[in-house]
Amino acid sequence: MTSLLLIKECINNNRQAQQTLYNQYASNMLGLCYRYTKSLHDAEDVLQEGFIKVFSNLSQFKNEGDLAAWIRKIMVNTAITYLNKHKRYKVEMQLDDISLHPIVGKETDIDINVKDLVEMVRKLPANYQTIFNLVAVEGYSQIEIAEILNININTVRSQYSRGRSMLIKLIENENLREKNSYAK
Amino acid sequence: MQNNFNNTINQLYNFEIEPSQQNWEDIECRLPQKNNKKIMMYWWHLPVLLSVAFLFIVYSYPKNGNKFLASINKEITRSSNIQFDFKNDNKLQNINTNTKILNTNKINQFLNKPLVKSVEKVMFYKSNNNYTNQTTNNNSSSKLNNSSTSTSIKTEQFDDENKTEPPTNTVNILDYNITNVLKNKDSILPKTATIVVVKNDTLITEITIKNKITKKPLFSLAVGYGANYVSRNNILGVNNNLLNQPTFSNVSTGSSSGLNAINNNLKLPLFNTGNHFTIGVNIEYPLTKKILLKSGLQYSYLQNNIGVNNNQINEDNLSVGSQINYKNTLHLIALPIDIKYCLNPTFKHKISFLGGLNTSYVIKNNWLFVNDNLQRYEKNSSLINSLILGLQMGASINFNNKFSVDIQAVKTITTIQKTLSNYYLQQLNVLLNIPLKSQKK
Repeated sequence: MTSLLLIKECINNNRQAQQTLYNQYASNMLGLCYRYTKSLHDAEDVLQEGFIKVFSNLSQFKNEGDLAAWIRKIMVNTAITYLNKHKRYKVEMQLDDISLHPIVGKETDIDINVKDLVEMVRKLPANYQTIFNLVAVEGYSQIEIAEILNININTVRSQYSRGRSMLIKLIENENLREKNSYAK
Repeated sequence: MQNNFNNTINQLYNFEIEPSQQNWEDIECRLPQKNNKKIMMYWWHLPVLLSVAFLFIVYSYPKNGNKFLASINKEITRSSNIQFDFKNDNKLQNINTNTKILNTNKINQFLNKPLVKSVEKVMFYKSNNNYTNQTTNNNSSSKLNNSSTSTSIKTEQFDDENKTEPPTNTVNILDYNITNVLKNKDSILPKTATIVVVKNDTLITEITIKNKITKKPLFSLAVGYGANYVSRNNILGVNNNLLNQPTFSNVSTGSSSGLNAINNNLKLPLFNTGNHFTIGVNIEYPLTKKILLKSGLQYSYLQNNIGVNNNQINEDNLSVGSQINYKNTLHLIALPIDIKYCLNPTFKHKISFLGGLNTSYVIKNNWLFVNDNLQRYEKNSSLINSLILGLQMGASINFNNKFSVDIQAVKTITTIQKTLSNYYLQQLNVLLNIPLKSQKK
């Protein structure tokens, strides 16, 4: 089934087509959701919510665009909405507008695989985690993020810098711990 | 090393986690049902067209007689082209008056026609310059007499010498008279009626009035009960011990004797019975004195019992045991459109035949199906035709214009299940129609 036909069938609520589309993007989108949340269960909630939005709004998708990027954008927005909505994230997401001075960390001797890195990112406070994902992974500009999260651009900048530094620190600590365990 | 770190971060973009099957099932539950827009459009063509036609007929007819009056005025205007001037006798003389001779009997005959019965005034012109105003002797002009009652006429003379002026605009008088007719008339008029103006018993003009129906549509509350059966209900014969399995492996013939062989996977051309009740609103509109258009909107709850064999396979490879019932149900919204022909419109109790089309929309189902691969489906909306078309015919008895009872047989012409042919629903309905507004006799 061609992409255009697939989209058309999905708009017509053809269940088989919708499942095909879901199968095509679900793994990658669940990976995305997982990076924004603290548990797999929450990630699955975001994934479901996101796909409902995708199927509901597919008729608005303009065919000249990239479907994957469009779905990804919906997932990111859904994740942010989810984080703002749920209490356990909301507290961490309440970012103050005070500009924080970035912590400049040394990015030396960092060797980590993707899976471990994801787990490290998820250990960050929710606000750092979100901004890190948006900047470093999704490639959103700081202005865009400031608009999405409704915060000051300087806050975005400093939160990102702090989050990144904290992430490096976490990785270094983890590496150190592993080295020590090997040494023993 | 920093590049290595950045590369790892970049790989996060494509980080994947395989979701569980449950995720899709949860999403699927929340997604709307399949959009059958195209099919809907196709199926709705006929009922929509019929509905539009019905509404057109209902609303194109006058509710208060204005259109009727307009039609009469048109006729009168056309007749007036022959200089229908009572003051100018010369002009009247020029009119060819030899077309027809009307005697008193003829006039009386005319006046006794249902249309003219309640006309209070009809103008006659006399050659001696006297004008005759004939007035029906109607004690209660607002009420209609029975058709058997004759109308007596009293004659009033207008004399030019005494300067008794006749009404100058006869057309207006006719309008006035006919308006009264329309106000009072509650029965269907004959196809045509004639109002005449005579001079010395000689016809000078004749105005033909085309019949229009002044009767309003009759709304009634419909309550019904009936029996139904479904042909080729292929679930019959499936062993109950297999009922809860997604795929049946054995299908018996379903014979209660249990002597038929099992494992033959036969689908039997049998049918299963059930019952249903209906409630809704009906509307009847008379097209002519005998023919009525009937439609409505009805909700039906239909139940059809299917026998599921609780059979077990014995040592001789025969099925034994008893049947249990599985209740298939449908919730339907129906739009019937019927033509009703009344055999005795003037009788107290009227008998009619009716027939037409019934379009039903399935709003909910709890139906058990087995497909050709013996897979079991239940409550699956995608397998059910959401629109079921049916033909219906029957008889109706109207008791003293108070209520009527319809007995109708319905047979669907579209199958209940999309994929199975010969899977039709037959219904026998008894419907009681109670008028929402009392009908005048």
